[in-house]
Amino acid sequence: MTMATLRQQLFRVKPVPQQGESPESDLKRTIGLFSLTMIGVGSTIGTGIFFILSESVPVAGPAVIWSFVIAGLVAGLAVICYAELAGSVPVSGSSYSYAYATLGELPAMGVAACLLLEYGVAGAAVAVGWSQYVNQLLFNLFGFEIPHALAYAPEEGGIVNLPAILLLVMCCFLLVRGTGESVVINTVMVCTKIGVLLFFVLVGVTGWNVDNFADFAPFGFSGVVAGSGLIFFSYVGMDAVATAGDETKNPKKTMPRALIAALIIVTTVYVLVAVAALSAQPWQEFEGQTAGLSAILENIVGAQWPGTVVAAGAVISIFSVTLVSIYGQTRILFTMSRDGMMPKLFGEVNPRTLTPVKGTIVVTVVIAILAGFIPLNFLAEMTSIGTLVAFVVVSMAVIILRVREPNLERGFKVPFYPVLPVLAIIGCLWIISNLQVITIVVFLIWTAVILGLYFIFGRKSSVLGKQRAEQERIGGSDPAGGKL
Amino acid sequence: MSIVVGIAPSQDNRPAVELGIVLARSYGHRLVAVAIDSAAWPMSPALFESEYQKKLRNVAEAALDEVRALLPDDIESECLVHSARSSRRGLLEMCQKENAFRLVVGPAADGKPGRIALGSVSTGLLHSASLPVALAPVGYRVVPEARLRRLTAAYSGSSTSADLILGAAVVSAESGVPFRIASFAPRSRVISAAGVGLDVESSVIDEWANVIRRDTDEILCSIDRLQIKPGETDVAIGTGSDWESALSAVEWEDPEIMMLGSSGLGALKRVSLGSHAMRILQHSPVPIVVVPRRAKSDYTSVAV
Repeated sequence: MTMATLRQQLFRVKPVPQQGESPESDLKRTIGLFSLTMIGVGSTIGTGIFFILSESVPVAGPAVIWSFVIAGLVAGLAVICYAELAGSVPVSGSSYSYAYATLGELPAMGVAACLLLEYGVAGAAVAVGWSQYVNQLLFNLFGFEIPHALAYAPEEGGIVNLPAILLLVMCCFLLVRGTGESVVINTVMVCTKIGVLLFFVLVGVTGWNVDNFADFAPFGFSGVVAGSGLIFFSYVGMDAVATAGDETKNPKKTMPRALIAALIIVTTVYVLVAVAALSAQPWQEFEGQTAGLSAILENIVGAQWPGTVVAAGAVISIFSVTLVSIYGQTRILFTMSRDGMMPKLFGEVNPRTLTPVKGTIVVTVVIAILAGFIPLNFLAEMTSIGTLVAFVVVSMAVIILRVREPNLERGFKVPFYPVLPVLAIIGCLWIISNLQVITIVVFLIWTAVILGLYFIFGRKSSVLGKQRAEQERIGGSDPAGGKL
Repeated sequence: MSIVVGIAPSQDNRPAVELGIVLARSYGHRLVAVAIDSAAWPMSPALFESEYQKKLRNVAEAALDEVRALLPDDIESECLVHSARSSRRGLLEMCQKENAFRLVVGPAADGKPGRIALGSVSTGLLHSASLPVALAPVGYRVVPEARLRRLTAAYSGSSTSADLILGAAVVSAESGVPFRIASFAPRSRVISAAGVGLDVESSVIDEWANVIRRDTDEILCSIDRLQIKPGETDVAIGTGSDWESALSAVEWEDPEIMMLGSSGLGALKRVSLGSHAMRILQHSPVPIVVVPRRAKSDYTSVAV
């Protein structure tokens, strides 16, 4: 009996179920261009826009408008690469599964580290933003605010961010009860947030003051790029479009069109919100402003009600983003657990509720700790770096797969190959290089921790590894070959 | 023991009677069709009241006459009018008096064809009965001389429903009816914005099915240890995009019944069916026998 070499272990790839072989291929192609575009718009808008302006405007100035466009373009490039992988590797589990099926087990764990960071920290980041709007709403409605000590992270002068933790507990409760209810509530909240943002733009432009744009790019181009890094996580929802590849009608045409349409709509709404906000208030005032959009409207109109509407809308819609983040996190951990890469706990399904109850609770507790004690801007950057690195890996996987499996049937092919994947990689690396050094260091430490976990736990308990060992034992051929 | 069939005057009683006949024949019990004369309040001597009561009794008798025409010769049967303050109370009194094995009721008048529809009397019975209640779907019919070809017990994944299954296994063993354990789940729609792929819930359902298979294997082992055990046992798992397709995903015999337990965990006493059980009841293509909370201990004790 020959043991697989370390290299063979680390780069063993999970065989891709061929068309007609897997239960997933039973999925019907039901999603058309409009629905797919709406998936992209609904899942993206609102992720960061309600509170990211107060983080990014101080870095980029009014030129933050360009930061939105750059972040949108880079996200679009990466998402087009996502679309090709989603069309050729019909598995669920997001880019972790794509990496496992194309690059191997170790790179898949690296991507998983990014995804876990992205979903976990995004959930925490939006929960922190939520608490600002809850406070604004409470003050407008009842003249009462949660004490500073209980509404801010220690670094911001508080003790614990209690509303953020409360929000996470509510989301957890909903997800544990069942996915059906969560889907309905999510849809209602997505519609609410789009309505509220349009309301903000309509009221916001009435306070137009062109002087606010005079000092357009106070920190030059590097400020614009740094702003993009902060904003990038506002576009993470875009990959939802790509993951619908297996259920899209005529994916070759529909996916790129839906992606481009969703990107244009989302970027337009973001830019409109940013322009309306910047026109109404000098850029210097954004720094440290909590519940920014509400505050801006209150200043313009001189009355509380428009701000209250926005705050209420934000409270509802940010809830949906947190819900989605926890949901995404639990399902990725679920997929990993089934592959033997994570403890079994995350793959256990409660037979009564049909949801991974234990996994959801663990995820919520971890995100709640992050949300309760870490400030918002750091969380936003951490989310972005996770997403950016995952996008880099996906773009690389497209190139690797084209070389290694040129004849694989692809539902959708990246146009202008290899220019677009290369541009996507360069774009993501460029934004990463403009993030704070501490963010990159923490990210590297986090990735090292997850890879360490892989070496201690995942490498031995890998389901694929056990299957290969079994094949080897009974004299099967090519035990660690790893062809698709 | 007997199978008591509740007859509602001026309604289509045929579904309940046909189900009662199949149960009586399969279990070898007597069938008692009971129409409740529910205006039996302490009457005032006024003529009007007793006239009214007489009319009601006539209506009940007329309903029983129709039922008599349906009853076959191969089973022992009897038709009775019983006076009580309410239909629910009257039926429960008769069940006690007749030492009933099952109480059978028909669907509400406005139900969908082929589906079970709960009316006010059947809902009340599910809350207060201390014996299993069989519910017939709208328009239920069986071929002459039909016997139950299978008894399916729905398993929800809880320990209380596992106890119930053992009880159901004993019942089917005693009557020589093949036995099956079935679990159902709809595949939830995914939250599309989560970016984890729209088919991720399929894996969750697959894992749920694994858990159910593991549990049902254990239950089958317990059935094997029973003193009296069914001749044939089977396990079925039905999933689909919604409850209706989940229930149609498994095959059904004709005639077959499904046993369903009331939720043992409900905080409110008046809620006797859990949300899953209620969905199964609403979409079942076969008659359902609900074991109400009050009946559970008696029902499950036979297996212990």
